[in-house]
Amino acid sequence: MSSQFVTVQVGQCGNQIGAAFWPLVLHEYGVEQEDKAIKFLKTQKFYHKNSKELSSAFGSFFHVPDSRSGTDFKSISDLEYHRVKARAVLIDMEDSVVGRFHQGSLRNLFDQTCTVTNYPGSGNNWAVGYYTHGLEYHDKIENSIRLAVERCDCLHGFLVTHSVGGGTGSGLGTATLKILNDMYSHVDRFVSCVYPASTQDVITAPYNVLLATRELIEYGTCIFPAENRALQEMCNANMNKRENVDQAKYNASCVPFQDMNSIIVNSLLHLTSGSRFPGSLNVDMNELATNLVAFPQLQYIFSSVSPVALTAPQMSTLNGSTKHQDELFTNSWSKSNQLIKIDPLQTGSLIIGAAHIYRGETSLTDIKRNIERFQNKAKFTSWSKETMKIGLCSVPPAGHPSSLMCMMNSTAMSGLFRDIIHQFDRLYKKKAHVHHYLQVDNFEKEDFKDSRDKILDVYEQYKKIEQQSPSTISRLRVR
Amino acid sequence: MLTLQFGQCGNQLGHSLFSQISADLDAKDTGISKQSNSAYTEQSFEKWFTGISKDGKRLARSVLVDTEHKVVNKICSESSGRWVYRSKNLVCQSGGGSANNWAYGSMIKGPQLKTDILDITRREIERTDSFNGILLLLSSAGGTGSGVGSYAVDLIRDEFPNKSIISCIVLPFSSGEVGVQNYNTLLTLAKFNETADLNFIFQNEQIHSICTNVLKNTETRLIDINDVISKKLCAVFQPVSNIWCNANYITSTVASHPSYKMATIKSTPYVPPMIKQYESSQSWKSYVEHLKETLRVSALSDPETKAPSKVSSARSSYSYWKSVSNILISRGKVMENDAVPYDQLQSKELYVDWIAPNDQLTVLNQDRRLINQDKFLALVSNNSQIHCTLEEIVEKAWNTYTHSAFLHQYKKFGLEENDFLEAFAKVENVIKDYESL
Ligand SMILES: Nc1nc2c(ncn2[C@@H]2O[C@H](COP(=O)(O)OP(=O)(O)OP(=O)(O)O)[C@@H](O)[C@H]2O)c(=O)[nH]1
Ligand SMILES: Nc1nc2c(ncn2[C@@H]2O[C@H](COP(=O)(O)OP(=O)(O)OP(=O)(O)O)[C@@H](O)[C@H]2O)c(=O)[nH]1
Ligand SMILES: [Mg+2]
Ligand SMILES: [Mg+2]
Repeated sequence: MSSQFVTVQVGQCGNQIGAAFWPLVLHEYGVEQEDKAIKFLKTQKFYHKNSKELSSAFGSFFHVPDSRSGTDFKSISDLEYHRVKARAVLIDMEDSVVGRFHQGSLRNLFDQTCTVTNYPGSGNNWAVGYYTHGLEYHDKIENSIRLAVERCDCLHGFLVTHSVGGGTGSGLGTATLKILNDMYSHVDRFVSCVYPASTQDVITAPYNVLLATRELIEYGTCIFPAENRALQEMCNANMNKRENVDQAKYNASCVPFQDMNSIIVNSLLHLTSGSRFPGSLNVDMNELATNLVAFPQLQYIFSSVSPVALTAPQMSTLNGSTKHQDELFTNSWSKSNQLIKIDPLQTGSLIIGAAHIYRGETSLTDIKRNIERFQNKAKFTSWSKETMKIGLCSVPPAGHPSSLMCMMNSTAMSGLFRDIIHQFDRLYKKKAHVHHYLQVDNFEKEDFKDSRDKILDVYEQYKKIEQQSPSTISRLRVR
Repeated sequence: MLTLQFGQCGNQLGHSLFSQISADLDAKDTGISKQSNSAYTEQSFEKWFTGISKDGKRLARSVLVDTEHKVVNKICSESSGRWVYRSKNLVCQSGGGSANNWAYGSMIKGPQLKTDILDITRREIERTDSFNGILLLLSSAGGTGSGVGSYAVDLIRDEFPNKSIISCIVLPFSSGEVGVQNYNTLLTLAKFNETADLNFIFQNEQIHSICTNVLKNTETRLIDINDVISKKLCAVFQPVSNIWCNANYITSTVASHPSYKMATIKSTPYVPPMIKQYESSQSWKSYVEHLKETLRVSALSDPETKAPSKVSSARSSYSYWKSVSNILISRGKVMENDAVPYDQLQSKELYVDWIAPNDQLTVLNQDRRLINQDKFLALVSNNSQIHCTLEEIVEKAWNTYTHSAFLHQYKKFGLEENDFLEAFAKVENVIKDYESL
């Protein structure tokens, strides 16, 4: 029985990430599909030797109602025939994106009863998403989630995807997170959320971001923020790298946002790999918080996957060599591979904890050497230098012989919180659009203030860690 | 001997151990007569196995405990050799592990597994007539081995007050591989030192160096480390001549004093696979000297992680870690012109003065080769060096503790600051005891 995850996708962004997620999941499990972008993703030569591990982990993301059907599925019609359903809850307050799920080629994988939709969105207003829709749809969402959970016998976590700049993902997404916390407090909640670029595409984004962030700090187990600017730059880099033709073709045939979203998806696949597949040092998802979250509220985690591309360039001769291994690590620390535009290793910042999860064949000797390289490169608090987590997963991603995910809890994250406050203050000073929020039932002016206070508190916690002096309390030595 | 393997490390190590024992039973190049060999294999079989399965495979006397199923599934499916685990001996949840959290393992998962662990352990013990010891295999850094292991050692102690409990605790790489490894190790050591009769301490860091430096394995994997640890355990626990060297015997010899219950196993030689055995074989004397070197204070690098040198060092003015007691076990033919010069390990400077000379060194021999190896020498040593290892762990754990880092993760499962302080006090006490030898 494999570890199971329920994906909860909220709002346009959340559901579009989902739209990129499911084809890539199926691709990883070796299920043929028609998606025109996926066709360009090559599978590694020896990938099929993992077929046993892959098929026995199929239940992680999918519910197979009849255990006699096995888990070795080759095509969408196979899945449909056996009535396989994605472990997903789809929530949006406008029909268009979710509607595409119900018309697309994967339509039969999604259970209508795990879908909550409405018209016409939340108008880029967190309060509408959180309070208006949150209350009205509370029971419906609760039921959809319950239904998905009842189909699990071994639930290990929720993967929640949404943006924080709009109204639905931001407001209803965090309301849903709270529902998850209320219903299943012992099940971890991992959130992949998209922060808007500073050149706002949504005018009220600073409000939404602030209000959502507070909820994420309150109810998420680990939060993996992403920024569209960072994702866009990684896509551009992929396109400019001439040597990787397949990846360029993939990106070129993506629908809007799909290329960017697949970077997030790749990190989710990597993140869950240790729970899904065996490995000589496997990392179950519930270990992440223990290893990375040293203090309550400091659960925003930098993440990067290397290689960034989903598929390897045709000519890669370095695979497996020491140089190749070291390159994987170096790239994963690079600021250009981070999902947000902050360098976790920037001057002045300290690492509170780090995790490296390796997929594919490697040796401890290689890992140890690179962990030591990391420890020499980064700066730490007086106690965190050995706060390292290592994971080895024996099943590589579909497109590479090996890959690495690096997660860091760095005080550099304070930059994100500083910006949130900054952007908020700028807009709030002019009292712009505040009335749109105040006219929503249950929303109080204090919501702004409380959220700002909380975020400031987190910001200061990071700063305090940066200024922490080594402890002078002497040990309990017995003499 | 009943083995209980906990968590990923315990299970992977157990699998390696039984594979080696089984390979030893099947070894052809024994160096002794057929008759003596069958006495050896019979004795070994009885010690580790409970019978033969329907398809002719040895059945390991072992209980597999984990809080997630991937590791156990994998090792059970990998039994390609001539032995298997009893499928009924799995105590395994699909719960997703113990989150690398000692508190979660010992306070939540342990009690959930209690009945199963006890039932299977009782059943295995009833199956065996001359049963005397329990071997626990675990790592200290994760959540299951350390936490569930700590819970289970109490359980087993209560249930079988007269059986010897020996643990093998694998300590993590000191550069870090689990964020909270020092907390988990501290809590584990505090518990085991209190409850078990004898604790064998292994350090991944040190064994890794043996693999890279001596075995010349530039791509060491955990499985290679497990092979080395298993070999050490085989060297200690496989049958020896003359006496019935069982768990009781070993604990009463090594850990007769209740304040000193930690030991290490030093061994030599490790021969890289590309070198032919007979080319490399040296005299027993050089092996004894090599192991004696490992007892020196302030050896710049650990001598065990180097190959034995061919020339014996003339100087003798070294200072040594003080031992409470040692056992020297040689495996392979001893000849008149190549005797084991064990008297080298009897010298006074090796021992604390309040130990009677007779209780200092025990010498055991087995003419039969261990897994075809011409000669293999192991030294079980209960000495003061261990305080350095403990010191490093406590120092790091204390530093993290005084900054209150990660404490909320433990409080969540009911482990309070006082419990930490108690564990600190216990391990500080062990450090003091060993340091003052
Ligand atoms: N990375 C990424 N960002 C997206 C995507 N779709 C929207 N965004 C970003 O999300 C923010 C807008 O939020 P949406 O998710 O569109 O809004 P919503 O949650 O549906 O809420 P309403 O439209 O107000 O009901 C903006 O910052 C967009 O740039 C996507 O598919 N991928
Ligand atoms: N020597 C050796 N060490 C191992 C092995 N597997 C894991 N470890 C070490 O064990 C520690 C991690 O603990 P695990 O045994 O994986 O954890 P666990 O007991 O399964 O606990 P949870 O996974 O937290 O439930 C690290 O220090 C690893 O280096 C192994 O096969 N051999
Ligand atoms: Mg929308
Ligand atoms: Mg484990």
